[in-house]
Amino acid sequence: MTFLRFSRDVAFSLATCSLSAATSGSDDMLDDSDAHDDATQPGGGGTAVARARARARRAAHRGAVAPWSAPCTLTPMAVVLERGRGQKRHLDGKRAHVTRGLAGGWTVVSLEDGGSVKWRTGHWQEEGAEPPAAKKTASEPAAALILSLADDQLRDIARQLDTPSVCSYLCASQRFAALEAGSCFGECHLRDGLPSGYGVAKCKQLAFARFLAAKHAKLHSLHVDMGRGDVTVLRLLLQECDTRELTTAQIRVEGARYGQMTRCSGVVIDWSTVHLDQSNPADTLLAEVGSEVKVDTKATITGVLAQFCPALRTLSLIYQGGDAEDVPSLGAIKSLHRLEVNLGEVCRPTSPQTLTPQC
Amino acid sequence: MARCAVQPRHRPSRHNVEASDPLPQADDANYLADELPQLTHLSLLGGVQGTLFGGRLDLTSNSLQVIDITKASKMLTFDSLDCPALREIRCRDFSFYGNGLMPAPPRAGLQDGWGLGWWHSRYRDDLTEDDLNLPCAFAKVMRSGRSGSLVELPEQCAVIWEVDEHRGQAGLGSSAVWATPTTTVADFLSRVDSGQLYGVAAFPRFPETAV
Repeated sequence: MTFLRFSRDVAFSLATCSLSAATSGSDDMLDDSDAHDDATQPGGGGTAVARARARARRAAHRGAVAPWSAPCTLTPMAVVLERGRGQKRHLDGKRAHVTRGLAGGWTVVSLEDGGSVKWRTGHWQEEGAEPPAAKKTASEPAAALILSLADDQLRDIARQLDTPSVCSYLCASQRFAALEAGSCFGECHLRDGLPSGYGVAKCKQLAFARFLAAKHAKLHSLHVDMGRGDVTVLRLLLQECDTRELTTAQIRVEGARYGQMTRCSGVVIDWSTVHLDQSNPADTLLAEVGSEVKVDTKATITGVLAQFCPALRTLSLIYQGGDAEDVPSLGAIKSLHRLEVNLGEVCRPTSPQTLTPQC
Repeated sequence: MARCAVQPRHRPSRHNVEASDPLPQADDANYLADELPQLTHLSLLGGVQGTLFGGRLDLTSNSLQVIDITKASKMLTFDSLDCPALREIRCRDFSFYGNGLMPAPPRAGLQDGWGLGWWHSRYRDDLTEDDLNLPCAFAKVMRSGRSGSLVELPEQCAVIWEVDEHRGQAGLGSSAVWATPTTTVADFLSRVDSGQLYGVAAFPRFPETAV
Protein backbone atom coordinates (compact mmCIF):
# COMPACT_ATOMS: atom_id res chain seq x y z
CA MET A 1 0.00 0.00 0.00
CA THR A 2 1.46 3.33 -1.03
CA PHE A 3 0.49 6.76 0.14
CA LEU A 4 0.70 9.84 -1.98
CA ARG A 5 1.28 13.10 -0.23
CA PHE A 6 -1.07 15.88 -1.22
CA SER A 7 -0.80 19.42 -0.05
CA ARG A 8 -2.85 20.70 2.87
CA ASP A 9 -4.83 22.90 0.52
CA VAL A 10 -5.90 19.90 -1.46
CA ALA A 11 -6.90 18.16 1.73
CA PHE A 12 -9.03 20.99 2.93
CA SER A 13 -10.48 21.32 -0.53
CA LEU A 14 -11.52 17.72 -0.38
CA ALA A 15 -12.94 18.21 3.08
CA THR A 16 -14.84 21.22 1.93
CA CYS A 17 -16.08 19.35 -1.10
CA SER A 18 -17.24 16.47 1.05
CA LEU A 19 -19.09 18.74 3.40
CA SER A 20 -20.52 20.74 0.54
CA ALA A 21 -21.75 17.58 -1.09
CA ALA A 22 -23.47 16.52 2.10
CA THR A 23 -24.98 19.92 2.55
CA SER A 24 -26.10 20.19 -1.03
CA GLY A 25 -27.57 16.73 -0.79
CA SER A 26 -29.60 17.86 2.14
CA ASP A 27 -30.69 20.89 0.25
CA ASP A 28 -31.79 18.72 -2.58
CA MET A 29 -33.81 16.69 -0.18
CA LEU A 30 -35.31 19.74 1.36
CA ASP A 31 -38.95 20.00 0.67
CA ASP A 32 -40.13 23.54 0.35
CA SER A 33 -43.46 22.63 1.78
CA ASP A 34 -41.78 21.34 4.93
CA ALA A 35 -39.81 24.52 5.21
CA HIS A 36 -42.91 26.48 4.73
CA ASP A 37 -44.67 24.42 7.37
CA ASP A 38 -41.86 24.96 9.86
CA ALA A 39 -41.76 28.63 9.10
CA THR A 40 -45.41 28.97 9.66
CA GLN A 41 -45.41 27.05 12.93
CA PRO A 42 -45.65 29.10 16.08
CA GLY A 43 -42.20 29.85 17.46
CA GLY A 44 -40.51 28.70 14.31
CA GLY A 45 -38.19 31.63 14.41
CA GLY A 46 -38.33 32.67 10.76
CA THR A 47 -37.42 31.16 7.40
CA ALA A 48 -33.68 30.53 7.98
CA VAL A 49 -34.26 28.64 11.20
CA ALA A 50 -37.06 26.68 9.65
CA ARG A 51 -34.89 25.69 6.74
CA ALA A 52 -32.07 24.63 9.07
CA ARG A 53 -34.41 22.48 11.11
CA ALA A 54 -35.86 20.91 8.02
CA ARG A 55 -32.36 20.31 6.68
CA ALA A 56 -31.27 18.60 9.88
CA ARG A 57 -34.38 16.49 9.92
CA ARG A 58 -33.85 15.31 6.37
CA ALA A 59 -30.20 14.63 6.97
CA ALA A 60 -30.94 12.64 10.09
CA HIS A 61 -33.45 10.58 8.20
CA ARG A 62 -30.69 9.71 5.76
CA GLY A 63 -28.29 8.77 8.55
CA ALA A 64 -26.05 11.74 8.08
CA VAL A 65 -26.64 13.84 11.16
CA ALA A 66 -23.62 16.01 11.71
CA PRO A 67 -22.00 15.62 15.14
CA TRP A 68 -22.37 19.29 15.87
CA SER A 69 -26.07 19.29 15.07
CA ALA A 70 -28.47 20.10 17.86
CA PRO A 71 -30.78 17.45 19.27
CA CYS A 72 -34.03 17.34 17.40
CA THR A 73 -37.15 15.27 17.27
CA LEU A 74 -37.56 13.18 14.18
CA THR A 75 -40.40 11.60 12.43
CA PRO A 76 -40.18 7.88 13.20
CA MET A 77 -38.38 5.98 10.47
CA ALA A 78 -38.30 2.20 10.26
CA VAL A 79 -34.75 0.85 10.16
CA VAL A 80 -32.88 -2.36 10.72
CA LEU A 81 -30.04 -1.92 13.19
CA GLU A 82 -26.51 -3.00 12.32
CA ARG A 83 -22.89 -2.62 13.43
CA GLY A 84 -23.69 -2.67 17.13
CA ARG A 85 -20.69 -2.76 19.44
CA GLY A 86 -20.22 -4.45 22.78
CA GLN A 87 -23.41 -4.97 24.73
CA LYS A 88 -25.47 -3.65 21.86
CA ARG A 89 -24.16 -6.23 19.46
CA HIS A 90 -27.13 -8.48 20.10
CA LEU A 91 -29.43 -5.81 18.70
CA ASP A 92 -27.99 -6.15 15.22
CA GLY A 93 -30.67 -7.10 12.73
CA LYS A 94 -33.55 -5.94 14.87
CA ARG A 95 -36.15 -3.58 13.55
CA ALA A 96 -36.47 -0.23 15.23
CA HIS A 97 -37.73 3.29 14.68
CA VAL A 98 -35.50 6.33 14.73
CA THR A 99 -37.18 8.76 17.06
CA ARG A 100 -34.79 11.40 18.31
CA GLY A 101 -31.38 12.66 17.28
CA LEU A 102 -28.77 13.45 19.87
CA ALA A 103 -25.57 15.43 19.80
CA GLY A 104 -22.32 13.72 18.94
CA GLY A 105 -23.66 11.54 16.18
CA TRP A 106 -26.02 9.50 18.35
CA THR A 107 -29.68 8.82 17.90
CA VAL A 108 -32.35 7.33 20.11
CA VAL A 109 -34.11 4.43 18.47
CA SER A 110 -37.18 2.67 19.81
CA LEU A 111 -37.10 -1.05 19.41
CA GLU A 112 -40.07 -2.92 18.09
CA ASP A 113 -40.13 -5.23 21.08
CA GLY A 114 -40.21 -2.29 23.44
CA GLY A 115 -37.72 0.01 24.99
CA SER A 116 -35.34 2.48 23.45
CA VAL A 117 -31.61 2.60 23.10
CA LYS A 118 -28.97 5.12 22.06
CA TRP A 119 -27.59 4.09 18.72
CA ARG A 120 -24.87 5.43 16.51
CA THR A 121 -26.40 7.52 13.77
CA GLY A 122 -26.27 5.78 10.45
CA HIS A 123 -25.55 2.35 11.84
CA TRP A 124 -28.73 1.03 10.43
CA GLN A 125 -30.30 0.25 7.15
CA GLU A 126 -33.51 1.79 6.09
CA GLU A 127 -36.11 -0.74 5.25
CA GLY A 128 -36.35 -1.04 1.50
CA ALA A 129 -33.05 0.71 0.88
CA GLU A 130 -30.38 -0.53 -1.53
CA PRO A 131 -28.13 -3.33 -0.29
CA PRO A 132 -24.95 -2.33 1.55
CA ALA A 133 -22.68 -3.92 -1.07
CA ALA A 134 -23.75 -1.35 -3.60
CA LYS A 135 -23.06 1.42 -1.09
CA LYS A 136 -19.58 0.12 -0.47
CA THR A 137 -18.79 0.05 -4.13
CA ALA A 138 -19.96 3.58 -4.52
CA SER A 139 -17.81 4.87 -1.63
CA GLU A 140 -14.57 3.16 -2.65
CA PRO A 141 -13.25 5.93 -4.93
CA ALA A 142 -13.72 8.51 -2.19
CA ALA A 143 -12.01 6.26 0.32
CA ALA A 144 -9.09 5.81 -2.02
CA LEU A 145 -8.78 9.56 -2.35
CA ILE A 146 -8.84 10.07 1.39
CA LEU A 147 -6.24 7.38 1.91
CA SER A 148 -3.86 9.29 -0.26
CA LEU A 149 -3.70 12.21 2.15
CA ALA A 150 -1.29 12.83 4.97
CA ASP A 151 -2.24 11.80 8.48
CA ASP A 152 -2.70 15.26 9.96
CA GLN A 153 -4.85 16.23 7.04
CA LEU A 154 -6.85 13.08 7.44
CA ARG A 155 -7.50 13.93 11.06
CA ASP A 156 -8.77 17.35 10.11
CA ILE A 157 -11.13 15.79 7.65
CA ALA A 158 -12.19 13.15 10.14
CA ARG A 159 -13.39 15.84 12.52
CA GLN A 160 -15.78 17.02 9.86
CA LEU A 161 -17.13 13.68 8.80
CA ASP A 162 -19.30 11.21 10.55
CA THR A 163 -19.10 8.31 8.18
CA PRO A 164 -17.84 5.31 10.14
CA SER A 165 -16.30 3.64 7.17
CA VAL A 166 -14.05 6.62 6.67
CA CYS A 167 -12.99 6.48 10.31
CA SER A 168 -12.04 2.88 9.85
CA TYR A 169 -9.99 3.78 6.86
CA LEU A 170 -8.33 6.54 8.84
CA CYS A 171 -7.31 4.17 11.62
CA ALA A 172 -5.90 1.72 9.14
CA SER A 173 -4.07 4.37 7.18
CA GLN A 174 -2.52 5.85 10.28
CA ARG A 175 -1.15 2.51 11.32
CA PHE A 176 0.17 1.80 7.85
CA ALA A 177 1.65 5.25 7.52
CA ALA A 178 3.48 4.74 10.79
CA LEU A 179 5.44 1.99 9.15
CA GLU A 180 6.76 4.23 6.43
CA ALA A 181 10.40 5.17 6.30
CA GLY A 182 11.30 7.98 8.63
CA SER A 183 8.39 7.49 10.95
CA CYS A 184 8.92 6.84 14.62
CA PHE A 185 8.02 3.21 14.25
CA GLY A 186 10.92 2.79 11.90
CA GLU A 187 12.81 2.74 15.15
CA CYS A 188 11.58 -0.26 16.98
CA HIS A 189 11.82 0.49 20.69
CA LEU A 190 10.88 -2.37 22.95
CA ARG A 191 12.78 -1.36 26.02
CA ASP A 192 12.75 -0.54 29.67
CA GLY A 193 12.39 2.96 30.97
CA LEU A 194 11.02 4.44 27.81
CA PRO A 195 7.96 6.66 28.19
CA SER A 196 5.06 5.04 26.47
CA GLY A 197 4.26 8.34 24.80
CA TYR A 198 7.47 8.00 22.87
CA GLY A 199 7.66 4.28 22.50
CA VAL A 200 5.27 1.49 23.25
CA ALA A 201 3.71 0.73 26.61
CA LYS A 202 5.22 -2.32 28.24
CA CYS A 203 1.98 -4.21 28.27
CA LYS A 204 1.69 -3.74 24.52
CA GLN A 205 5.25 -4.40 23.47
CA LEU A 206 4.82 -8.03 22.63
CA ALA A 207 1.66 -7.30 20.66
CA PHE A 208 3.44 -4.45 18.93
CA ALA A 209 6.33 -6.70 18.00
CA ARG A 210 3.90 -9.16 16.47
CA PHE A 211 2.13 -6.33 14.67
CA LEU A 212 5.42 -5.15 13.18
CA ALA A 213 6.18 -8.68 12.10
CA ALA A 214 2.75 -9.12 10.57
CA LYS A 215 3.11 -5.91 8.59
CA HIS A 216 6.69 -6.64 7.55
CA ALA A 217 7.72 -3.27 8.90
CA LYS A 218 10.78 -1.61 7.52
CA LEU A 219 13.20 -1.25 10.41
CA HIS A 220 16.11 1.13 10.48
CA SER A 221 17.11 0.74 14.10
CA LEU A 222 16.25 -1.70 16.80
CA HIS A 223 16.45 -1.35 20.55
CA VAL A 224 15.17 -4.29 22.50
CA ASP A 225 15.45 -5.22 26.17
CA MET A 226 14.43 -8.76 26.78
CA GLY A 227 14.89 -11.84 28.84
CA ARG A 228 16.58 -15.03 27.80
CA GLY A 229 13.26 -16.58 26.95
CA ASP A 230 12.18 -13.69 24.77
CA VAL A 231 14.70 -14.42 22.05
CA THR A 232 11.84 -15.93 20.10
CA VAL A 233 10.25 -12.51 19.76
CA LEU A 234 13.45 -11.06 18.32
CA ARG A 235 13.78 -13.98 15.93
CA LEU A 236 10.25 -13.39 14.69
CA LEU A 237 10.87 -9.66 14.31
CA LEU A 238 14.03 -10.07 12.29
CA GLN A 239 12.55 -12.87 10.24
CA GLU A 240 9.42 -11.04 9.20
CA CYS A 241 10.41 -7.38 9.11
CA ASP A 242 12.19 -5.66 6.30
CA THR A 243 15.71 -5.45 7.75
CA ARG A 244 17.61 -4.70 4.61
CA GLU A 245 18.35 -1.20 5.92
CA LEU A 246 18.64 -2.02 9.58
CA THR A 247 21.93 -0.42 10.54
CA THR A 248 21.79 -0.09 14.32
CA ALA A 249 20.80 -2.65 16.88
CA GLN A 250 20.99 -2.39 20.64
CA ILE A 251 19.98 -5.55 22.38
CA ARG A 252 20.14 -6.13 26.11
CA VAL A 253 19.50 -9.60 27.37
CA GLU A 254 18.53 -9.71 31.00
CA GLY A 255 19.71 -12.45 33.25
CA ALA A 256 16.12 -13.33 34.09
CA ARG A 257 14.26 -15.86 32.04
CA TYR A 258 11.39 -13.55 31.13
CA GLY A 259 11.95 -10.01 30.05
CA GLN A 260 9.57 -7.13 30.31
CA MET A 261 7.83 -8.02 27.08
CA THR A 262 6.61 -11.28 28.52
CA ARG A 263 6.13 -10.11 32.08
CA CYS A 264 3.93 -7.21 31.05
CA SER A 265 1.89 -8.99 28.41
CA GLY A 266 -0.98 -9.84 30.68
CA VAL A 267 0.07 -13.38 31.51
CA VAL A 268 0.23 -14.34 35.13
CA ILE A 269 3.59 -15.92 35.79
CA ASP A 270 3.77 -18.30 38.70
CA TRP A 271 7.26 -17.50 39.88
CA SER A 272 7.28 -20.42 42.25
CA THR A 273 7.31 -22.82 39.33
CA VAL A 274 9.31 -20.83 36.83
CA HIS A 275 12.58 -22.44 37.75
CA LEU A 276 11.08 -25.89 37.92
CA ASP A 277 10.64 -26.05 34.17
CA GLN A 278 6.94 -26.64 34.48
CA SER A 279 4.29 -25.46 32.15
CA ASN A 280 3.80 -21.76 32.48
CA PRO A 281 1.43 -19.32 30.77
CA ALA A 282 4.43 -17.26 29.76
CA ASP A 283 5.97 -20.25 28.05
CA THR A 284 2.68 -20.92 26.34
CA LEU A 285 2.61 -17.35 25.09
CA LEU A 286 6.17 -17.51 23.83
CA ALA A 287 5.48 -20.87 22.22
CA GLU A 288 2.63 -19.25 20.36
CA VAL A 289 5.01 -16.62 19.07
CA GLY A 290 7.58 -19.29 18.32
CA SER A 291 5.12 -21.14 16.15
CA GLU A 292 5.39 -18.27 13.69
CA VAL A 293 9.16 -18.61 13.48
CA LYS A 294 10.35 -20.61 10.53
CA VAL A 295 12.45 -23.68 10.94
CA ASP A 296 15.42 -22.32 9.04
CA THR A 297 15.63 -19.18 11.17
CA LYS A 298 18.73 -19.27 13.33
CA ALA A 299 18.26 -20.01 16.98
CA THR A 300 20.64 -17.49 18.53
CA ILE A 301 20.58 -13.72 18.57
CA THR A 302 23.84 -13.33 16.74
CA GLY A 303 22.83 -16.04 14.31
CA VAL A 304 19.58 -14.38 13.37
CA LEU A 305 21.31 -11.01 13.11
CA ALA A 306 23.83 -12.47 10.70
CA GLN A 307 21.05 -14.12 8.76
CA PHE A 308 18.72 -11.17 8.27
CA CYS A 309 20.73 -7.96 8.74
CA PRO A 310 23.10 -7.48 5.83
CA ALA A 311 23.59 -3.75 6.49
CA LEU A 312 24.13 -3.84 10.23
CA ARG A 313 26.91 -1.41 11.11
CA THR A 314 26.53 -0.82 14.84
CA LEU A 315 25.72 -3.57 17.28
CA SER A 316 25.54 -3.36 21.04
CA LEU A 317 24.82 -6.76 22.46
CA ILE A 318 24.78 -6.70 26.22
CA TYR A 319 24.29 -9.87 28.17
CA GLN A 320 23.65 -9.38 31.84
CA GLY A 321 25.28 -12.26 33.60
CA GLY A 322 26.43 -14.04 30.50
CA ASP A 323 28.39 -13.91 27.32
CA ALA A 324 27.61 -14.09 23.65
CA GLU A 325 26.94 -17.74 23.05
CA ASP A 326 27.48 -17.81 19.30
CA VAL A 327 30.58 -15.81 18.46
CA PRO A 328 31.21 -17.46 15.07
CA SER A 329 27.93 -16.13 13.74
CA LEU A 330 28.85 -12.72 15.14
CA GLY A 331 31.96 -12.89 13.01
CA ALA A 332 29.75 -13.55 10.03
CA ILE A 333 28.26 -10.04 10.16
CA LYS A 334 30.88 -8.59 7.87
CA SER A 335 29.25 -5.17 7.70
CA LEU A 336 29.94 -4.39 11.35
CA HIS A 337 31.86 -1.21 12.08
CA ARG A 338 31.12 -0.80 15.76
CA LEU A 339 30.73 -3.66 18.14
CA GLU A 340 30.01 -3.71 21.86
CA VAL A 341 29.62 -7.15 23.30
CA ASN A 342 30.30 -9.46 26.20
CA LEU A 343 32.69 -12.12 25.06
CA GLY A 344 33.50 -15.37 26.70
CA GLU A 345 37.20 -15.80 27.13
CA VAL A 346 38.26 -19.38 26.62
CA CYS A 347 41.15 -18.88 28.99
CA ARG A 348 39.50 -18.75 32.36
CA PRO A 349 42.07 -18.64 35.16
CA THR A 350 41.27 -20.59 38.26
CA SER A 351 43.96 -19.10 40.44
CA PRO A 352 46.54 -16.33 40.20
CA GLN A 353 49.25 -18.89 39.53
CA THR A 354 47.50 -20.13 36.42
CA LEU A 355 47.50 -16.73 34.74
CA THR A 356 49.26 -17.56 31.54
CA PRO A 357 49.23 -15.61 28.31
CA GLN A 358 47.32 -18.25 26.42
CA CYS A 359 45.64 -21.42 27.39
CA MET B 1 56.22 6.07 12.87
CA ALA B 2 56.78 3.42 15.43
CA ARG B 3 55.19 0.33 14.07
CA CYS B 4 54.09 -2.55 16.14
CA ALA B 5 56.86 -4.94 16.96
CA VAL B 6 54.70 -7.90 16.15
CA GLN B 7 54.74 -8.62 12.45
CA PRO B 8 51.44 -9.39 10.77
CA ARG B 9 50.63 -13.01 11.06
CA HIS B 10 48.10 -15.00 9.21
CA ARG B 11 46.73 -16.96 12.04
CA PRO B 12 43.89 -19.35 11.47
CA SER B 13 40.70 -18.53 13.25
CA ARG B 14 40.89 -20.12 16.61
CA HIS B 15 37.30 -21.03 17.13
CA ASN B 16 36.99 -24.67 17.71
CA VAL B 17 34.18 -26.08 15.64
CA GLU B 18 33.16 -29.51 16.70
CA ALA B 19 30.35 -31.49 15.25
CA SER B 20 29.02 -32.35 18.66
CA ASP B 21 28.94 -28.75 19.79
CA PRO B 22 26.12 -26.75 18.20
CA LEU B 23 27.59 -23.50 19.51
CA PRO B 24 31.32 -23.73 19.08
CA GLN B 25 33.33 -21.54 21.35
CA ALA B 26 35.21 -18.83 19.58
CA ASP B 27 38.29 -17.20 20.89
CA ASP B 28 36.54 -13.93 21.60
CA ALA B 29 37.88 -10.63 20.41
CA ASN B 30 40.87 -12.06 18.63
CA TYR B 31 38.62 -14.10 16.40
CA LEU B 32 36.29 -11.19 15.71
CA ALA B 33 39.14 -8.85 14.86
CA ASP B 34 40.25 -11.41 12.33
CA GLU B 35 36.82 -11.98 10.88
CA LEU B 36 35.39 -8.47 10.67
CA PRO B 37 37.24 -6.55 7.99
CA GLN B 38 35.44 -3.23 8.58
CA LEU B 39 35.46 -3.18 12.35
CA THR B 40 36.68 0.18 13.63
CA HIS B 41 35.36 0.29 17.21
CA LEU B 42 35.49 -2.64 19.56
CA SER B 43 34.08 -2.33 23.05
CA LEU B 44 34.32 -5.27 25.39
CA LEU B 45 32.01 -5.68 28.34
CA GLY B 46 32.22 -7.69 31.48
CA GLY B 47 32.25 -7.11 35.20
CA VAL B 48 34.89 -7.85 37.74
CA GLN B 49 33.59 -11.38 37.87
CA GLY B 50 33.45 -11.60 34.10
CA THR B 51 35.07 -14.30 32.14
CA LEU B 52 37.53 -11.87 30.62
CA PHE B 53 39.24 -11.49 33.95
CA GLY B 54 42.94 -11.88 33.41
CA GLY B 55 42.49 -12.48 29.71
CA ARG B 56 44.98 -11.39 27.15
CA LEU B 57 44.02 -9.93 23.83
CA ASP B 58 46.08 -10.70 20.77
CA LEU B 59 44.54 -8.47 18.15
CA THR B 60 45.38 -8.22 14.49
CA SER B 61 43.28 -5.87 12.41
CA ASN B 62 43.93 -3.34 9.68
CA SER B 63 40.71 -1.47 10.33
CA LEU B 64 40.50 -1.29 14.10
CA GLN B 65 40.78 2.28 15.38
CA VAL B 66 39.37 2.27 18.89
CA ILE B 67 39.48 -0.40 21.58
CA ASP B 68 37.42 0.31 24.65
CA ILE B 69 37.78 -1.97 27.65
CA THR B 70 36.68 0.50 30.31
CA LYS B 71 33.62 -1.65 30.95
CA ALA B 72 35.49 -4.92 30.82
CA SER B 73 36.80 -6.81 33.80
CA LYS B 74 39.94 -5.90 35.62
CA MET B 75 43.29 -7.34 34.62
CA LEU B 76 42.21 -7.74 31.02
CA THR B 77 45.29 -6.78 29.07
CA PHE B 78 47.01 -7.14 25.74
CA ASP B 79 49.45 -9.75 24.62
CA SER B 80 50.18 -8.04 21.36
CA LEU B 81 48.61 -5.52 19.07
CA ASP B 82 49.03 -5.49 15.32
CA CYS B 83 46.60 -2.73 14.45
CA PRO B 84 48.27 -0.03 12.34
CA ALA B 85 45.15 2.18 12.27
CA LEU B 86 44.73 2.13 16.03
CA ARG B 87 44.34 5.58 17.55
CA GLU B 88 42.73 4.98 20.95
CA ILE B 89 42.88 2.40 23.67
CA ARG B 90 40.53 3.21 26.50
CA CYS B 91 41.35 1.47 29.74
CA ARG B 92 40.10 1.55 33.27
CA ASP B 93 41.86 3.51 35.96
CA PHE B 94 45.30 3.05 37.40
CA SER B 95 44.20 1.28 40.53
CA PHE B 96 44.41 -2.42 41.10
CA TYR B 97 41.02 -2.66 39.47
CA GLY B 98 42.47 -1.38 36.25
CA ASN B 99 43.10 -3.18 33.01
CA GLY B 100 44.69 -2.70 29.65
CA LEU B 101 48.11 -1.13 29.57
CA MET B 102 50.17 0.70 32.14
CA PRO B 103 52.99 3.16 31.63
CA ALA B 104 56.19 1.22 31.95
CA PRO B 105 59.02 2.60 34.06
CA PRO B 106 61.65 4.31 31.92
CA ARG B 107 64.35 1.95 33.08
CA ALA B 108 64.71 -1.18 35.08
CA GLY B 109 64.82 -0.96 38.82
CA LEU B 110 62.33 1.84 39.24
CA GLN B 111 59.50 -0.52 39.99
CA ASP B 112 61.22 -2.36 42.78
CA GLY B 113 59.89 -0.16 45.53
CA TRP B 114 56.23 0.27 44.83
CA GLY B 115 55.33 -1.88 41.90
CA LEU B 116 53.81 0.13 39.15
CA GLY B 117 53.66 3.28 41.19
CA TRP B 118 56.99 4.51 39.84
CA TRP B 119 55.31 7.74 38.81
CA HIS B 120 54.31 8.50 42.35
CA SER B 121 55.83 11.67 43.67
CA ARG B 122 57.76 9.91 46.40
CA TYR B 123 59.72 7.91 43.82
CA ARG B 124 60.48 10.70 41.43
CA ASP B 125 63.78 11.43 43.03
CA ASP B 126 64.96 8.26 41.35
CA LEU B 127 64.22 9.67 37.92
CA THR B 128 67.12 11.26 36.13
CA GLU B 129 66.95 13.99 33.53
CA ASP B 130 67.44 11.40 30.83
CA ASP B 131 64.55 9.37 32.19
CA LEU B 132 62.24 12.36 31.99
CA ASN B 133 63.08 12.94 28.34
CA LEU B 134 62.37 9.39 27.29
CA PRO B 135 59.13 8.62 25.47
CA CYS B 136 56.50 6.68 27.31
CA ALA B 137 56.46 2.94 26.96
CA PHE B 138 53.50 0.72 27.69
CA ALA B 139 53.40 -2.58 29.46
CA LYS B 140 50.69 -5.11 30.05
CA VAL B 141 48.99 -5.11 33.39
CA MET B 142 50.12 -7.84 35.73
CA ARG B 143 48.33 -9.10 38.76
CA SER B 144 51.52 -8.92 40.79
CA GLY B 145 51.43 -5.15 40.54
CA ARG B 146 54.58 -5.08 38.49
CA SER B 147 54.72 -4.20 34.85
CA GLY B 148 54.77 -6.96 32.33
CA SER B 149 56.47 -7.10 28.98
CA LEU B 150 56.22 -4.10 26.71
CA VAL B 151 53.55 -3.73 24.08
CA GLU B 152 54.42 -1.46 21.21
CA LEU B 153 51.80 0.80 19.73
CA PRO B 154 51.47 2.97 16.64
CA GLU B 155 52.73 6.43 17.45
CA GLN B 156 49.32 8.04 16.89
CA CYS B 157 47.68 5.71 19.35
CA ALA B 158 46.69 7.28 22.66
CA VAL B 159 46.22 5.17 25.73
CA ILE B 160 43.51 6.75 27.84
CA TRP B 161 42.91 5.85 31.45
CA GLU B 162 39.41 6.72 32.53
CA VAL B 163 38.96 8.16 35.97
CA ASP B 164 36.84 6.21 38.36
CA GLU B 165 33.18 6.68 37.65
CA HIS B 166 32.34 7.47 41.26
CA ARG B 167 35.19 9.89 41.47
CA GLY B 168 33.82 11.74 38.49
CA GLN B 169 30.37 11.84 40.03
CA ALA B 170 31.86 13.24 43.22
CA GLY B 171 33.25 16.19 41.32
CA LEU B 172 36.83 15.11 41.78
CA GLY B 173 37.55 15.30 38.11
CA SER B 174 35.94 13.89 35.05
CA SER B 175 38.73 13.85 32.51
CA ALA B 176 41.22 11.12 31.91
CA VAL B 177 44.96 10.85 31.69
CA TRP B 178 46.36 9.91 28.38
CA ALA B 179 49.70 9.25 26.78
CA THR B 180 51.01 8.27 23.38
CA PRO B 181 54.26 6.59 22.39
CA THR B 182 55.62 10.07 21.65
CA THR B 183 54.68 11.54 25.03
CA THR B 184 57.71 12.08 27.21
CA VAL B 185 57.84 10.86 30.77
CA ALA B 186 57.99 14.47 31.97
CA ASP B 187 54.77 15.32 30.14
CA PHE B 188 53.08 12.25 31.47
CA LEU B 189 54.07 13.13 35.03
CA SER B 190 52.77 16.63 34.63
CA ARG B 191 49.39 15.23 33.57
CA VAL B 192 49.44 12.98 36.59
CA ASP B 193 50.17 15.96 38.79
CA SER B 194 47.17 17.82 37.41
CA GLY B 195 45.05 15.69 39.69
CA GLN B 196 43.19 13.78 37.06
CA LEU B 197 44.56 10.37 37.79
CA TYR B 198 42.71 8.16 40.16
CA GLY B 199 44.93 6.29 42.57
CA VAL B 200 47.72 8.86 42.45
CA ALA B 201 46.31 12.30 43.03
CA ALA B 202 43.73 10.88 45.37
CA PHE B 203 46.44 9.39 47.53
CA PRO B 204 47.84 11.73 50.17
CA ARG B 205 51.50 12.52 49.81
CA PHE B 206 53.51 10.50 52.26
CA PRO B 207 55.77 12.47 54.54
CA GLU B 208 59.41 12.23 53.57
CA THR B 209 60.28 10.51 56.82
CA ALA B 210 57.89 7.72 56.07
CA VAL B 211 59.71 6.69 52.92
